[in-house]
Amino acid sequence: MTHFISISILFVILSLGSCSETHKLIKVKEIVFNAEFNPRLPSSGTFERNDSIYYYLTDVATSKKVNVYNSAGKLIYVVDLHKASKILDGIDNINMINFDTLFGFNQAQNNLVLLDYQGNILKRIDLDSLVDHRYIFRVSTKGTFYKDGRFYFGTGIPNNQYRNMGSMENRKYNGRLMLDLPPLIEFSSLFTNEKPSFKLLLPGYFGNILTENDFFVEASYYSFTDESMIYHSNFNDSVTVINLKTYKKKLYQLSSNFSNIIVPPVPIDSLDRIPITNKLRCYGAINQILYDSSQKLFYVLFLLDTHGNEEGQKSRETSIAVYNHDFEKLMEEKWPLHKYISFITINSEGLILIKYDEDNYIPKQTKKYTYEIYRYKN
Amino acid sequence: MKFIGIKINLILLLIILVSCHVEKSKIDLLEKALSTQLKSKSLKDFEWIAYVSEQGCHGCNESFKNLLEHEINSTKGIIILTSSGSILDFSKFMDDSVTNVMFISEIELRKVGILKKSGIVFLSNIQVDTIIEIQSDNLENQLSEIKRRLD
Repeated sequence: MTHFISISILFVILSLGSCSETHKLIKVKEIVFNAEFNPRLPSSGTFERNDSIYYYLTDVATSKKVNVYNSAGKLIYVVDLHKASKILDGIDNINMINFDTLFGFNQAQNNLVLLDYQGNILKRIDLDSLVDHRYIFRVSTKGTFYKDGRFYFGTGIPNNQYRNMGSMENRKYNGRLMLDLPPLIEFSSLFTNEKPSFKLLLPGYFGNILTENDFFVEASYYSFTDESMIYHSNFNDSVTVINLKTYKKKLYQLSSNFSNIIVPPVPIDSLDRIPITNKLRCYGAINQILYDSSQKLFYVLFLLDTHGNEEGQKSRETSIAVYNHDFEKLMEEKWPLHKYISFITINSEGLILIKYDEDNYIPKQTKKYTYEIYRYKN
Repeated sequence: MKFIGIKINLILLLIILVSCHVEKSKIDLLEKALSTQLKSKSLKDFEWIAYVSEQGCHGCNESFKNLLEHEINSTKGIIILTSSGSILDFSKFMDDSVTNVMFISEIELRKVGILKKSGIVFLSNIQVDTIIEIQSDNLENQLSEIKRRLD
């Protein structure tokens, strides 16, 4: 009888287990890249060619080079950026799309350059000269900015205002100005023989989500599916999907199981960016959205409410959620992001998380960057 | 009324003494963290300790870094970095001939807690004299004050 009861209990436990959530993020691969520098991660990434995947780590600041690796972590070649950096008076960002095609960007001059695998500048474009003088924006290359021959940049406050930030009044004025600016600009035909053109996307977007004037305007982020651009801001729980052929927009609201993810208005009460950024760090937010085209799903990195983080000392609580193509949530789990560098990327192998290595600050020593690749399994 | 004034003064004095003590203990912690790189020296042998961060206001960090490039190999102070420079160009600090640049992990520096962003600690008679953390709204004044004290 006792055996019967024990077996029954065990059976019930096992049945309950099989009914529970089985959706998981499974680690499928780990690659270690060695570099002699600290890379700028938004300028580092991955590209694919002839069914092979390649990775690149970029240091635009100090050693001025791009290391290109195969998918086993072996260094294949190095692109030297010294020459181009000198000509442009610095390169802020690199986007590598093929073995011999790199785009470099200089933010101060709004210059975009096409580079070859030796780091030679093949073409240099002054973006300001392409845009109507009323729209002289600073452009930002944060995130992916190239797709199918078109370049996408976030817009900032006008160049002529940027250096004029010395007072609270100017800061507030620029904050108000940004509310009316379209946050995205699309350039096409930049490196062809056709006449380049530009289009302003999402006019009034900031105005839609911010209802008062004196709020600190933080950067917005975008990524791509095969046919659309995905757009979100730190302030908001909604995600905009823009079809890149029709420019039709769809709005989806996301939520986390573990936290509110909407940032309340934060007043500009300081000219110093850090205290304001630290205030924002107390609130949950959508940090990154990446599309997995092989599985047709989205990975969303949520930053969770981290109360008491006004000094910016605490590690952020985070979770990773997986959504289907229609933004229906499939799973969400808390993630120990303090063990990783808070920058994630994706390729056809899966979601890539880069492990944090405390020893990577040591100079003149080979640094180790461990990429963990995860795939969603149901 | 007079007694209230004395009390306030005593409280202020106590706060100053406590904060000096706190900052002194932070210097001790920093010295411990940098002991291998300091070799036989003590942080108290120096007149200033500067830290160039890559977080926060880029222009401010860059201006401060440019100013400190003139202090490379100074015997009066040390420059602390937490990376080989992925946002700012630290190549001048990385040269083999440089003697007063030291490295610490960001986590460790945060634990020490003496400089949370780019800034400089001036020491006087083995005590913390002044701490200047670089701020965008007062950048020019701060840089000229630092330059004046470094010269």
